[in-house]
Formats: sequence, C-alpha cells, structure tokens
Amino acid sequence: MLLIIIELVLAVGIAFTNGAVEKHESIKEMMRDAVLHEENKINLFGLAVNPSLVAGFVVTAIILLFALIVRIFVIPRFKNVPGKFQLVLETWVGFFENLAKTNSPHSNGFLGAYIFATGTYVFTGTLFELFGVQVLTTEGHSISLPAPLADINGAIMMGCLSYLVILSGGIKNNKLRGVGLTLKEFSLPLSMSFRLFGALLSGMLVTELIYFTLGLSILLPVVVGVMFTLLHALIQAYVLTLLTAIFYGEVSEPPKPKEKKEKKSNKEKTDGTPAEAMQEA
Amino acid sequence: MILTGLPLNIDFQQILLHLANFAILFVGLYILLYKPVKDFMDKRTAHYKSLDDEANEKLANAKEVEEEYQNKLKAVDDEIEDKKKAASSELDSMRVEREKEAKENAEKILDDARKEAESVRANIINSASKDITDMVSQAAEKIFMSDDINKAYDVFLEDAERSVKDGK
Repeated sequence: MLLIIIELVLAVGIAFTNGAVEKHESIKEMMRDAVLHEENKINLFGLAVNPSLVAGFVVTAIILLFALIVRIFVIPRFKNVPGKFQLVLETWVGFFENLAKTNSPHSNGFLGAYIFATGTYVFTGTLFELFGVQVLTTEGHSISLPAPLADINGAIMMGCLSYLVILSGGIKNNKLRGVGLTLKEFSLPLSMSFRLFGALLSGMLVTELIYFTLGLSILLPVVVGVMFTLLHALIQAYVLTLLTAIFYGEVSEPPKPKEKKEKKSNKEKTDGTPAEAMQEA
Repeated sequence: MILTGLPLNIDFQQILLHLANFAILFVGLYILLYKPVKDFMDKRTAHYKSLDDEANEKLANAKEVEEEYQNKLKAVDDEIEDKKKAASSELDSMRVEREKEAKENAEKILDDARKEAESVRANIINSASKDITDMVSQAAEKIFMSDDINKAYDVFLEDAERSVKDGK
C-alpha cells in the first residue's frame, strides 16, 4: 500500500517536473560524469567535492536525526510484547546481529554494530537517489544528488574500511596468524570496493538512461526507478554485510588443533612397522 | 595534491571525508539505536529465560514430589500386601487349630457315647440276669408247689440248659 502511494506521488512528480529542468549535457556526457565525476562538482565550504560526498553527509544527517528521534521518543516506550514499529526496529537490529553471530560465532560484538551501520548506510544511501534532491554545481547547473556509494571514493572507503575491520578481527582473535589470514585475501578491498561501486553505478546509469529518454520518462521510471532501486539497495546492503561477516568470521576463527601427527602415530601403532609386517607374514 | 591524476578521479581527500562521515554515522547509530535496542532485546531475552528457568525448576520440583508420592503409594501397597499375607497365615493357623479342637471334641463325644453304651449294656445285662433269676425262682416255686416232683426236676434241668446255651 505504502509502495503504491510512493509510486503514485513519484508518478505525479515526474509528470509535472518532466521537461521543467533544463538539460545542460548530453547522455554521453552525463554518463561519463556519473563514472568519473570530472565536471559536476559541488562547493562544500570552499572545497569542490563530488555530489556523492554531499549525498553521504545528507544521508548521515537524515539517519542520525531519525535515530535521535527514535532514541528519545520510541525506545523508552518499548514493551515486552512489541508493537509494529518496535518490531521493525528489533527485526532491523536483530537481522544484523544474527548475521554477525551466524557467520562469526567466536567474536561478533563489534562486527554486529559495524555491519548494522554499513547495511543501514548502503540501504538508505541507495534509496536516497530516488528522491532526486537538487543541488547547484560549481558551474551553476542543477543536478540531483546520487547515492553516496555510487562515487568511486565512497565505494573505496567502504571496501577498504570493511577490509580493515576484517583485519582488526583477525588481529584481535588470532594475533599474527589473523594478520596473515587477512593479508592472504589481499584482493578483497579492491573487489569489495569495485563490486559496490559497479553495482550502484550500473543501477544509477540504467535509471538515468530511462529518465533521459522522453518517451520512457512518464510512467516507466515509477516502476524501474522505485522497484529496481529498492531491490538493489536491499541486495547491495545484504551482499556487503554478508561478505564482511563471512571474512571476519573466517579470520577470527581460533586455530584447530593439529590432528595429523596424532593420526600418523595411531596408524603406526595399529599397522606396525613394515619390518614387523614382514615378520608377521 | 600529491596523489592527483589517479584513474577514475580517485581522490584521497574525499575518501577521508567519506570515512569521517561514516565514522560519525557508525558512532551515532551505535549509541542512539543499535546498543539501546540490543540491550532491550537482551534484557527481554534474559527475563523470559529466567521465567523459563523458574518454570523448569518448578516442573522439576513437581516431578520430585510426584515421585515421592508414588514411592509412598508403593510403600503403602507393600504394607497392605504384607498385612494381607499375615492375616491369611493367621487365618490358616486358626483354622487348623479349630479343626484340631473339633476333632478332639468329636473323639470325646464318641468316647462318652461308648462309655454310656457300655454302662447301658451292663445295666441291661444286670437287669436281664435278675429277671432270669426271678423267672427261675418263680418256676421253682411253681414246681415245688406242684405234686409231680419229676416234672419239677425236668423243668429245672431245661431252664439250666437254656441258661447255659445263652452263655450266662
């Protein structure tokens, strides 16, 4: 029901605003800029930054404001038998906590909190691009803010930070062995960063392509924009947190006791030496 | 910047800004949302676990009491069984004693009856010999009273023979 209402509102918004915004660049330029962020910069306290960074700040502010309101007005009224909103909050927290516990049973306190924040940031940040918040570039053009992680810098930060968190888990639980285990997966930060960047960027590009084509921009974005964005927001949040949890669990697992030597000695005891076998024969 | 000119416009300054932004978000979310909700859930879990433990403890106590009760019932059953056996053996011994008593009584009655029969017989015999004597004396009187002495002797001899034949 809520989804239908959102879609209707967006449909009306798109219908009324379509053509109102002057397109200052071609599709080629726009897509190139979405990948490279060379043209459209935003002035942030005198610093020219990519729009995704501003989007990241806005998303953080929104999430923290929401969390503050929940902390002040909702959490003190929590009941043992939860209501609908409490249930949503508990499911949200419980999902990441369980994900951490399942994949890293030996150490998961910090991991749970980290993947909760990561998942929330990725999900909310990806949904944020749906709202098309308009800002002015340094050149005076109006652009809509993209997802914070559709920027290569944001994705690199997230991938490398996740890798550092995994490394910290290895050091905390296995000391030098943990470092070795983590460094063994040296391609992880690169793969995590570019996977995230590629996934979010491709989603954005497909949506932009559809928006750009006039014939498709009346009703189709309502389905494509909302449904696709919702879906890949969920998937990306899940994939990143799951990967982090799995690798964290792997490097923080205590070493198994060596059984090879014992097995070998047992085998010798049961089989006897070759000379004894010859004698028996 | 030293690291400008990296491919894909990678900018370390912006990466650090993204990092700072996420760090703020992480700390804020942890303090405002994750920890309070998790604490509440843990507290509730502990509460229900304590209730569950309490219920289990009560159940264990109830089972213990039930077992005790069953043991007592069994003990009572055993006691009843023992008493039944004792009563049965007592009854048997009483029956045997009664039978013995009855036999003794019967023998005594029989003895008494025999003795009484003996005495009755003796009395009958005594009275019969007295009758015979009376008859003999009457016959003798009749003979002496008659004239024919020979007849008297014959009668006397016949009586005497008869009494010898009777064994008296």
